[in-house]
Amino acid sequence: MKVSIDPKYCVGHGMCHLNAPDVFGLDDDGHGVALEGEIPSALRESARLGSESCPQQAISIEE
Amino acid sequence: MQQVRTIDIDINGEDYVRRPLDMEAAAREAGPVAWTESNGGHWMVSRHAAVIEGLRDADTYSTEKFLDENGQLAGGIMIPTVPFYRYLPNESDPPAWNGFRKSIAGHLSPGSVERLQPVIDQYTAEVIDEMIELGEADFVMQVGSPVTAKVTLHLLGLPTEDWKFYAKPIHLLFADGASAGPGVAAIQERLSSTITERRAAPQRGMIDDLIATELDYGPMSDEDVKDLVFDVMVGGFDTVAGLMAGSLQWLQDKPDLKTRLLEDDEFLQTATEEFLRYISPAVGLSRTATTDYPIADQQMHKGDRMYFMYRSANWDPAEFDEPETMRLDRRPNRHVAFGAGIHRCVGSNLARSIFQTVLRQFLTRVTDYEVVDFEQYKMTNNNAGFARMIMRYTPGTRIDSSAR
Repeated sequence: MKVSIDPKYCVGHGMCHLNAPDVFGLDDDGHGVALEGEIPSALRESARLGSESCPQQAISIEE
Repeated sequence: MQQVRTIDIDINGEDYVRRPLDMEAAAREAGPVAWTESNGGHWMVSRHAAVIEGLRDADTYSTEKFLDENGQLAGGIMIPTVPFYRYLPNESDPPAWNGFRKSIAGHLSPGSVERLQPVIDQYTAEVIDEMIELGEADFVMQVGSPVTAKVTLHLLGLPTEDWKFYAKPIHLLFADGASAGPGVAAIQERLSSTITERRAAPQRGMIDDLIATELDYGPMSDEDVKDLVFDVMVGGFDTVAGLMAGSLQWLQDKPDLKTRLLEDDEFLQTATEEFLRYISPAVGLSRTATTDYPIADQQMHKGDRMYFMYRSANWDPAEFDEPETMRLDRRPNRHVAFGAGIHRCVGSNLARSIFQTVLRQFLTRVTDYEVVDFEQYKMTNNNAGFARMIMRYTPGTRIDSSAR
């Protein structure tokens, strides 16, 4: 599984970080930063929750 | 081609003031997006998915004011258009928006807010000291508004002892718009003269950084700085105060939840989002379509006014299970209490921190408060909150935070 955030749509709600801090961080402006590379299986559910929590639907998951 | 859905709702009418939640439910019932002829005619974007869809692409809408074909001022974030002042960056479009937004975003970023936390703690303690011995107080103007105003003024680099001069008219703007005029005019004048002084003799505050900002086309104008500072104040003061007041009112007879909020950080976080969703201090704001584009099954046309209904979206049963029930551990919680799209609230990190700090300090120090009287805002289509919320409690003691 890979996770990516589309910077065109991310406006810094911060909900991904709030719901899945182990997968999503925040940059200095409060925009989401996703864990790079393959998401370890233990974090996949968390990644899905973080992605679903984005009000901008800016996060895509590649299974 | 889909038929145009219509609904007969006047968002400035008496019915809407009296029964806003019913009217919003009726709007959602009519469809994700529906047209009303009231207030010059505009779309009502009421369902969660439609609000997100309609605000996702910044090229499709404008928030700037402009002169229409009859020479009348039109556009902006309110219906009807408010002529007296411009909110910045709210009422600007890219590319100008980029520079305006950037100039304040850094001051309100998660990192900046974290560095501000000791200041938030301090003002909260100080403000509670001022009311704790009284036994009865108006939470809105004696706790919620002063803490938010003082922290914001501190950040801006303006004298915090002047908080009432700024906070009272801004409170009136929401609570009773008709009487806010003179106070708001005085704020505008004071800001203009302060900006002139500070351009000549800079100090160290956000206002000085704004004055020194270079935009793509030259230095930030005094007018721009004034409009940015005013928007920060209007966006922050009463919205956060209303969120606190509504949350504490709801919590007053729930001792177990109060205890859990004090002990469990994660619960405090999800609870904050749920209070935001349920109370929705920002009820809705407007945009003008810059192009023909669809939202859900309705076709917007260039120049159409669109009212994006954040609270209605936050109470949409298609998105939230039992939206009328407060569930402090709700997750995911994709509320749009801070709006959506490029104009989403830039102060959200500060708002959350101030809210959480006040909630915890207040619940710790004022353990037995009871709301004995309250009055909601008269104006309801942009903001929800309280003209006043009188609480009675056993008087406590100061912790003498004045010795700073």
